[in-house]
Amino acid sequence: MIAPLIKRDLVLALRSGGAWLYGLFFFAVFIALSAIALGGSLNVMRPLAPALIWLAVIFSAMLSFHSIFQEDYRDGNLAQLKLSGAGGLILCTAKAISFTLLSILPLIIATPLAALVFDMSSQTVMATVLSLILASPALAIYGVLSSAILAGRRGGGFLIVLITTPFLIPLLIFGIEAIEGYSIHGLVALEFRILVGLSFIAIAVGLPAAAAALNAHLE
Amino acid sequence: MNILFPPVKKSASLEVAGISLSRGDRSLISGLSITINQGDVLWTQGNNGIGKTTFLEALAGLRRPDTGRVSWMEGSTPVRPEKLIAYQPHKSFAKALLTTKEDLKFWAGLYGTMSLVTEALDYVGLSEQADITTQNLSAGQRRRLALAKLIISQKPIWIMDEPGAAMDNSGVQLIDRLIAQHIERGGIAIIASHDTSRKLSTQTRRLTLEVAA
Repeated sequence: MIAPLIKRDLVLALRSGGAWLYGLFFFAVFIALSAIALGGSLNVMRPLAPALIWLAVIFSAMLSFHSIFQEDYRDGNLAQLKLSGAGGLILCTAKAISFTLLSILPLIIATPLAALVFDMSSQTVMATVLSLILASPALAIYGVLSSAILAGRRGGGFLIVLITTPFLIPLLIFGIEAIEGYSIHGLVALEFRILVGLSFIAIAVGLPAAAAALNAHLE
Repeated sequence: MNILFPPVKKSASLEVAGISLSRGDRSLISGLSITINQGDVLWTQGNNGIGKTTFLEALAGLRRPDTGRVSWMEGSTPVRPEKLIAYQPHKSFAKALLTTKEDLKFWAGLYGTMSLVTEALDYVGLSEQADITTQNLSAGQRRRLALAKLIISQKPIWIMDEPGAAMDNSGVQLIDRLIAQHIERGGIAIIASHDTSRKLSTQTRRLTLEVAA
């Protein structure tokens, strides 16, 4: 039941005239502005690069969080999906996967390009991409959770930032630590395991919470 | 035709026990009890804003009543509303950027009735519109698409909110034929409408919602 939901989200996004790429555009602008703000000196920017890329990814993802359930709630699809027997958990899982594919994956793919701006070493780029990949399930699930809580509420953008920030702080901390850890211990760095752990916590706790929030809207 | 309307295997019924409904802080319905059995058609009528849609949403399990209970029964066992209910809301829920067939196929995929898609489109008179996006359908054609979704859901209880709105004459006849066939196979139809003059089965019942004196 999950596959048709994801497929439909992907088809709708691809036909939306590029609206799904706004996040990527924001990411690129953020990186470019950061480079300008830091004066363009590579020696200054190089050590800050992983942190800037992580911030760009998190802000860019936050921009797209509110839209995850918004349209489906407003046009009545959510109610119909409930009646079709697709439970909240299935819906939230499908939405988390399509969010990962549409909003996070393009950012991860663009990360090596952003790295060129900051003249990052290939090892750091590798570590940054890895840390983003491992954190993306958690990032997507907390986005789904906040969107499920605020579905149908006008002007939820501000609340979305408030709700998701506490969940994203540990990701940010260990994501950036993992990049440093990689330069010393490689893949077995403790921080990578913590990132995986955070993603598992999101799956175990965040997904059921999102499903419960969604069901609360529909009865 | 029989592919689209196989007999309902397990008899379904709906029991409403003393429900009260409100929207915001406005009380709409209080203390309503009714039992709807296999083969019933229930026309719900009443002025705008009297609470028809709210009532239908409660019957569909999409709104929890303030007090009282709605039970969905299969035989004599209570089941989840998802098992029995197909709901056609007043507003179209077709995705604007999907074609008519893609939209119907998506729901057929969820219901596991993919083989009925072509037949259902044909039945509601949309086979020529199968490949145009639903944003280019007229309001009446979108309502026909919603009817096709009722058919492919293969659920015993249909809840329809103003199905005749924006429909031409042949559309209204289509609705009548559809409901008659659904009743004949042992289904239930609950309809909110202004026009309740028609009698679609021997068990047509009428529920009038009025402002309390």
